[in-house]
Amino acid sequence: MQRSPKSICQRFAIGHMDDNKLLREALKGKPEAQHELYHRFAPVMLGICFRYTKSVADAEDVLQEGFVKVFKHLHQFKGDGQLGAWIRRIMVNSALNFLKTNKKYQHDLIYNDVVLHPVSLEDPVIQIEAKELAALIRQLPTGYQTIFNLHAVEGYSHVEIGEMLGIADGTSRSQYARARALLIDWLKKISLSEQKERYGK
Amino acid sequence: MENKFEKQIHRKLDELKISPSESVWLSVKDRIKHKKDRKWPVIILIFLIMGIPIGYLHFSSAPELSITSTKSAKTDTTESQPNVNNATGKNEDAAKRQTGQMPPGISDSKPGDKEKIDASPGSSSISGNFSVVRNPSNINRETKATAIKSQDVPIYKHEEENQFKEQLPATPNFEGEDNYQRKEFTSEEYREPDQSNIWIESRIYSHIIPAIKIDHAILYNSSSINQIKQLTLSDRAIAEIVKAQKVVTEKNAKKNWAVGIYAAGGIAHVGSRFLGLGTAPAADYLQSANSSANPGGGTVIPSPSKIRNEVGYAAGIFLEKEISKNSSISFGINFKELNTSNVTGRKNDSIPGGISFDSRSSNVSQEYRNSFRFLELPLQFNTQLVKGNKITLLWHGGFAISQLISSNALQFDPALKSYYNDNSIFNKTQLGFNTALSLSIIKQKNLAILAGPFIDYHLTRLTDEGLYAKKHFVFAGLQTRILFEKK
Repeated sequence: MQRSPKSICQRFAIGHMDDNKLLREALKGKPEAQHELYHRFAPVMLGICFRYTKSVADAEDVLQEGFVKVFKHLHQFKGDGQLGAWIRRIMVNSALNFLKTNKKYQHDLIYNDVVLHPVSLEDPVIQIEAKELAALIRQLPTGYQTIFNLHAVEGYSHVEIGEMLGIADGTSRSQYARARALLIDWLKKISLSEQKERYGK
Repeated sequence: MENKFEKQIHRKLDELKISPSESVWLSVKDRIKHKKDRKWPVIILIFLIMGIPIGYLHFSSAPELSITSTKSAKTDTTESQPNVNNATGKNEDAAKRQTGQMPPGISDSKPGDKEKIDASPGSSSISGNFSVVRNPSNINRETKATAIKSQDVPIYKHEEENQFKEQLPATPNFEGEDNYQRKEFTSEEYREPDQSNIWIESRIYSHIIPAIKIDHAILYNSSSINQIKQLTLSDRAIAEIVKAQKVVTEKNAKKNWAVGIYAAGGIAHVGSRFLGLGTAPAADYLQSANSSANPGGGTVIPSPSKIRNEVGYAAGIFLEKEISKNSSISFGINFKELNTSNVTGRKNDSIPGGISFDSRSSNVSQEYRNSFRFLELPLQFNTQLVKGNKITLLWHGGFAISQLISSNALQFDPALKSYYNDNSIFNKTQLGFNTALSLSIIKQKNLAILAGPFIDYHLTRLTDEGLYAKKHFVFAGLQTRILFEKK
């Protein structure tokens, strides 16, 4: 189907709009602007959602819920930060709600108040790709995975994480420490095995 | 504490971008569109609610039907208590009202009407305007046809309850030995991991598993690890598989129809007023006034008995489709039978092959049930008013086209002083309006049972002449719906 020149120009114009102008057009209810907004942020947001879930299908469910909330509350964005950061916060909250309400994750979303482990002071170099790193993080139990994502990736403090998840900040610290230690351990082993492959046993 | 490791993690994961499937945008688009379109069901609801008082005002301004009474002595046409098996000598309507079977106000008669007429037969308190009933043997009437509604997320079954939990020692040994004792993970999902990530996991586990000298992987058992190693699909092939799966899921999700069974029972009433509310005229009596000409000996035209309310019922099937999160439309087909009753005399053979009864007399009287059978096509709009965990309240409203398929209703011929059956005078196609409330009684995954009161009003007049001239059917009672949902 040939598209009219006007619509092609419109889409070109929308595709090159900055975020604020795109936001204004989307608030007017223009479907092209809404689609462009989604198209611009969806790949990154799906990557964020993917970190909290165990499958792409679940991540897409979270993405869908998140974007529905984004469009519903778009008028509340005051422009006091980046639009991407605002959408990202909505996605993280959607992911947390998804984990709380989805039966699949209920058993694993238990935050035990255990003895604090010493924090590993190691800082290994991460040599694997982003996808592999994300998959590695997803291998953590869901509780560890969530806290690790919130602190290491999103940058929330343990106090903030405690408020979001309804746990003590000490629990958040200990769970994070454990997750971090596990990840470092796995990364070291991957690095060691790759070296062995390269250089032989 | 922000150190290099966290910074690396943050930077690496910010690079991660995954293109979502097209179905995600389509779902988002539908949902934000439905949020906007929600105003239309509200507008329709307001329109329907406003239509009730407007219709009442319209019908209440119609001219009253009235009759003239005779001055002559009481005849066998005066109302006598019928010898009905279930009558107790009281006005049957009043009895029904008392027992709560009939909604208040839906009655053609008041207890005082009969007494008023009997007490002053000579007074021309009411003046009439009725069309004459023709000789039934010469019937050739023209019938007037007046034209007158998440994929379920699979429940994640763990074989063991705490599979995700690690059992770590209280004081770990940091001398380099791996003291972590991990449970073998046998979850269903990880036996058949997400296809799009197989290439990632195959690379990881080909590194990790030989290095970690333990007899079980962190999350996979040995048989599934071998399966993963064998799978070396390319990214594009995996993407195609996932896309195909999404298309199938989308197709299945579009079939959002539900089938249901409908059943209703209640009281059927014929009235001239809108919904039978307000003061109803005593329009059943045909008596001509001749008081001044020949007092005490005037011509008396016998009148038919009152038309009494009787039970009615309806049953059918319907299809329901969701149009938004809280509303749906449904259409179906119902069989409806509405009944009224007369008091007649004994059966006679004045009409060969037809139904004919004498007018009632003090000696012989019996109750005759007039049945009207319709085939109805309802179209309804359904919306949730209240949604709770256990109880849901819905409102249904809409229109229905009914076709009168058979009837044994009697008309009255004063000349012959008898009742006869003639269906040609009825407006066979009827347009009706109905409204109902439903409360969910049973709410399960694929089955819902709802019940509640309803009222059904035929906007089309039953007929323009005869015993049911300018009357409308009103049917009210309790209805129930059984909904079978395929998810």
